[in-house]
Amino acid sequence: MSDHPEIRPEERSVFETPKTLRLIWIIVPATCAFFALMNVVLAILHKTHPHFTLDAFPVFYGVVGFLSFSFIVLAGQHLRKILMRPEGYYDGAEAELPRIGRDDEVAVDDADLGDARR
Amino acid sequence: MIPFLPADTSPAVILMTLGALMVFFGPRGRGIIGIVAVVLSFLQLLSLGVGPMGDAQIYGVSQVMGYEFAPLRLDKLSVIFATIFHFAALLNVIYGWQHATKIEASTGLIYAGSAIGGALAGDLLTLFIYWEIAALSSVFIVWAGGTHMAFKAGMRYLVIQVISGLALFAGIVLHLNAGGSSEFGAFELFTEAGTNPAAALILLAFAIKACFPLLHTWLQDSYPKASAVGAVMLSAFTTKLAIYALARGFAGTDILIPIGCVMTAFPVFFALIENDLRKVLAYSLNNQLGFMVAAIGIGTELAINGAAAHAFVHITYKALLFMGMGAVLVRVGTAKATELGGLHKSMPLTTIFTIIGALSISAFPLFSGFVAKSMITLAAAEEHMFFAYLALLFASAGVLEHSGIKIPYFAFFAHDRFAPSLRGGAPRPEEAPRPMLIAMGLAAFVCILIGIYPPILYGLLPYETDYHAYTFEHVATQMQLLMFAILAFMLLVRFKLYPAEVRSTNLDVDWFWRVPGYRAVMAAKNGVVAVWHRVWGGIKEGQSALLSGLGVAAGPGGRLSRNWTVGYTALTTAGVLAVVLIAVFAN
Repeated sequence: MSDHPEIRPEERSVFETPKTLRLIWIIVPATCAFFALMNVVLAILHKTHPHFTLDAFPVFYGVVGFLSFSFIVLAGQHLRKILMRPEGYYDGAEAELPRIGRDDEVAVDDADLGDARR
Repeated sequence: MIPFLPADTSPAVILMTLGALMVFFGPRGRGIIGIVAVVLSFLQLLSLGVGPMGDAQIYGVSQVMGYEFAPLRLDKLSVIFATIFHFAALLNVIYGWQHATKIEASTGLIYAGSAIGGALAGDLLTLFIYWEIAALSSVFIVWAGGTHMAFKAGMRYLVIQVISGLALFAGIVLHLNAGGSSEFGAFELFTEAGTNPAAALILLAFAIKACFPLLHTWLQDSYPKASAVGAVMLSAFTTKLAIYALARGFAGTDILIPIGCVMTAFPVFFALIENDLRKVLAYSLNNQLGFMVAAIGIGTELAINGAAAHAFVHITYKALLFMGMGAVLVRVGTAKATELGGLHKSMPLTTIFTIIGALSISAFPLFSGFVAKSMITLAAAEEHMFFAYLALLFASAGVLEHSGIKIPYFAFFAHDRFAPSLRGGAPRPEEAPRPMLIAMGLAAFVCILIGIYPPILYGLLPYETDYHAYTFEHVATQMQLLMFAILAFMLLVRFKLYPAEVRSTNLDVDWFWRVPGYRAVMAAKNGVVAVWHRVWGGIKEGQSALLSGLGVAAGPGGRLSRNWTVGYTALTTAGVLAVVLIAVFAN
């Protein structure tokens, strides 16, 4: 579940060994196949209760899950082209500093309405 | 049940009073008071009893100038919300045992009390009062984040919350003026005479706090800027009080279905590209609210049960996820994905608890999301709303993406950034502090308990139900949806199509008032100042010209101080006499 070539082998956890990664690549597709098959069997035995035409198709949910997820990731990342700005875009570099003893946010410096000579 | 309290004491008052008392105590005293307050308040809630829908238990009724106050109304809908609010308050107290500041601990309890009071309110003005207390108490929690950003975000938060309160008040006034009842019941948004303005204003108030699309940004703006403890407090109450209010006032209002569907779908994309994992959770919160809003729009008994059940489980697992990220924030100092990774090696319990929250929110079987969310999707299917159904399935895949995978993956796995060899031998971050682990463990336990034994939850729902979440078909379809989505994730990562995390600020609709809106207001202000300066300057100039003119005329050597000749004086006297005579005889 991780790829970080620079860390030492002894710093890798069990989740970062190639063996585990191979195992995950077996388990996930196998689980997909199992539940798809289970749905097919349920459909053949007439144990399913579809509410629409499309969801009567036994692997409808698998297809929806796969396509939705892919669409979100593949299409969503293009939003960055429109929406992404540098960190501190709104509040400037000091934004994350504590504001103890500072109350500059509420200074209304040039709105002193009583003095025309300014 | 509580002998030393009057029988109709509101649980909200207990929490708010003890919350205010907390400021006189140190951290341990505050923690103990917090636990006592939540336990007392909950016992009081239990002792008040609960009526079925339509036949509520009502306490404390009083009449003021013809208006009937009903501060306590207990039916199945209000009590399930009050119950889960108590659990959230308990989690907050434990989680903040060491890390909550005085302000956070105190206003946190007042805030919880206001949400409970709002949920139990039987009349509109009581609801309004608690609505406002919730806004005012929670802004202190945002400010307690302590940074410049938190202060400014708190100001924006306050403005928006107050607008919601004003809309609610205006709606109530119109409603009462039109002869409406003081009882907080169902509103008709569309009548035969057209849109009902009172109902529309009240809906707007609820919509702001429930984060409807375009009205949502206060949440993503403020919650991630609160402290680790503060964000957990904030995640539970305001939005779910609004969901309760919608369920009470606008169940079956059709327009909520498309709004809810949009609400579930759009945050998914923002969550994908967001780097701050607590902001990802804030978008995820918005997406979850969408499910509830859509269910309220559907409005059948199954759907309202689904909305209440979802709110119940959602508060638990969302708090759990915020607690997990809060623990990371406390130990690492940031919750940004670009700075995190590999924390499972030194924060194993936090990792496990966060993964339990992630599995719950993704609605895996045996976890709490599964037994609640499915009621909403089933309600849509039973009403044959295909597009709503499809939108909810799409959003379910989206939940898996941002909360199920992204949160645990980037925080605890992905790139190991804390290996001692990479940081010159610096030790890895420690496991979360014990009170935080206890709170997370408690929330994780409830997520699993409800997942394994849903009757606990179903017994609390507003309407009687014989719903069974665990059918072969349901498990098979849900697991298909989730596992194929995970397969998609693995393939996308394998082929390097999954976007890397980037340090960035991502714009949302609040850009319109934070940048051009701000500039417009500043320009207007500068314009007003300039105009005022000219007006004031003109007045001052005119005034000084007048004074110096008078001085010149009447001063020594001025025209009025000269010695006049007799002829001039006689002429002036004759002139004055003529004017007086004309004035007298003209009448």
